[in-house]
Amino acid sequence: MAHTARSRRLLLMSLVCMLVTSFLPLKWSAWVSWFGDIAEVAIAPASNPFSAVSRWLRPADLNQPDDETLAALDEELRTTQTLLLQSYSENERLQRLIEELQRGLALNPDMPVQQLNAPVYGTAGDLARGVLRVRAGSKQGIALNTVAAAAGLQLVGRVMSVEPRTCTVLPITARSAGPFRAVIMIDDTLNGLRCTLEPVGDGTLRGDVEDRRDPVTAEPILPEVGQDVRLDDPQRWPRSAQMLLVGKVERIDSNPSQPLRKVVVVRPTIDRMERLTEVLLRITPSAFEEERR
Amino acid sequence: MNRLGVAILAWVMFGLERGFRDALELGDTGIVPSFVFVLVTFIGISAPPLAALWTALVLGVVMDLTSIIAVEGVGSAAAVLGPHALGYVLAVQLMLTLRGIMIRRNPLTMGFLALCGSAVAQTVLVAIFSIRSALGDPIVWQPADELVLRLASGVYTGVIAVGLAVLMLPLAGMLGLSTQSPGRFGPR
Repeated sequence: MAHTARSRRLLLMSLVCMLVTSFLPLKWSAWVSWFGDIAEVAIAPASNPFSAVSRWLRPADLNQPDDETLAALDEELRTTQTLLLQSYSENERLQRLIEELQRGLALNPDMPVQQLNAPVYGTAGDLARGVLRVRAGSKQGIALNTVAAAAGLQLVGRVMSVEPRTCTVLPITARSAGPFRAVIMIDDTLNGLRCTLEPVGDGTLRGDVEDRRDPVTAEPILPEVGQDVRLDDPQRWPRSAQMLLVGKVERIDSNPSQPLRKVVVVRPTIDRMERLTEVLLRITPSAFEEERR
Repeated sequence: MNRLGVAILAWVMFGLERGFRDALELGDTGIVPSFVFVLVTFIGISAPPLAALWTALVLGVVMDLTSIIAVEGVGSAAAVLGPHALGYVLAVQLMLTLRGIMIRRNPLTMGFLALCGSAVAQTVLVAIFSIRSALGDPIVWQPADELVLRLASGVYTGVIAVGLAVLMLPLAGMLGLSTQSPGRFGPR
């Protein structure tokens, strides 16, 4: 009887503690993640096989042609396009850098990108939907903001938390991912239409497109359905993510508040990113610097 | 109650929760069942009251530790200890109150209690995060959307619980739990 009474008192005290910790400010709750990492290590072996079955039952739709050779060529083409545009972007950046150097400004060292294929072993609980748990962590050089991509250098998202052996990737289509700037590729140069895209919640991204006119004819330059959209947001995304493919323009609407501007709906080339079985983590030594910042 | 048996079952349920529940999502709605809550319901209807409350607390704490929430702006995440734990304990308290008037061996009972309990637990969770959000915590949280989605997920959990009850109820004896409804003059 006394044991039961003591147990009840202890339960009540535990509940009071839970109530207090429920409202602790986030800056005082960092220690929770340390215990979470331990729990994660214990749960991961159980979740891994179920995750494999789940992703086999409902795989991510990579939107690739049925024919294997065609699919390989398609992926190669997309990769080459991305690399070409990245080299353009890098070229522009270097030109700017040279100009800055000439003005005597400091220079960041150029870091190579190392790619790591890492399996997805589950989701990150029910509070952050669509978030992926990936089996690669700080021991493999992953840091906060490390960029995650998929086949054809389709941008998937970036690392939002990292543990020694695992990390969490927040896809660009997750509602909590927030807005980012991108460029609609109207031709093979970097002279595309700038837009700010925001996740809608149904796997697409939506945002306003800049109003630009042809300098000769003064006709508005409009985006078209099917055009590639690539990331171009050096302020918020690491350099290794610039010019990665965000998706294709799926729909163009008019902006009701600004008739001269268009709103585009962009769909990534991979439907249901949260169903990916593996991601390509693009590790740069500078990611550590970005984390520190 | 056989603690080791319950711990192993909990481990499997957490594995299903993290690895498999996305496969059961209804279209692209975000409505998914909770396997861990099915276990909470199973414990809630078949364990002694105090053991049921403690188990709910422990399962809730593990759920809190392994669930992260996105933080605005910085592309980061945080874990909050308490919302699931409090929600699960309150849900089990409701089950303890209701189970006396229900046929515990019936799988539909587990489905009904999972639905009601889930509604309580999710309401508590949404309330806590909504208060945090209102107080200026930089978490990414939309109270109305979350509540609707979580209540719909609770209904789905109830449906899944009916199916899982067929598998779990026979395990009750092995886990030292009882699915016998108490008679008029006390437990049979």
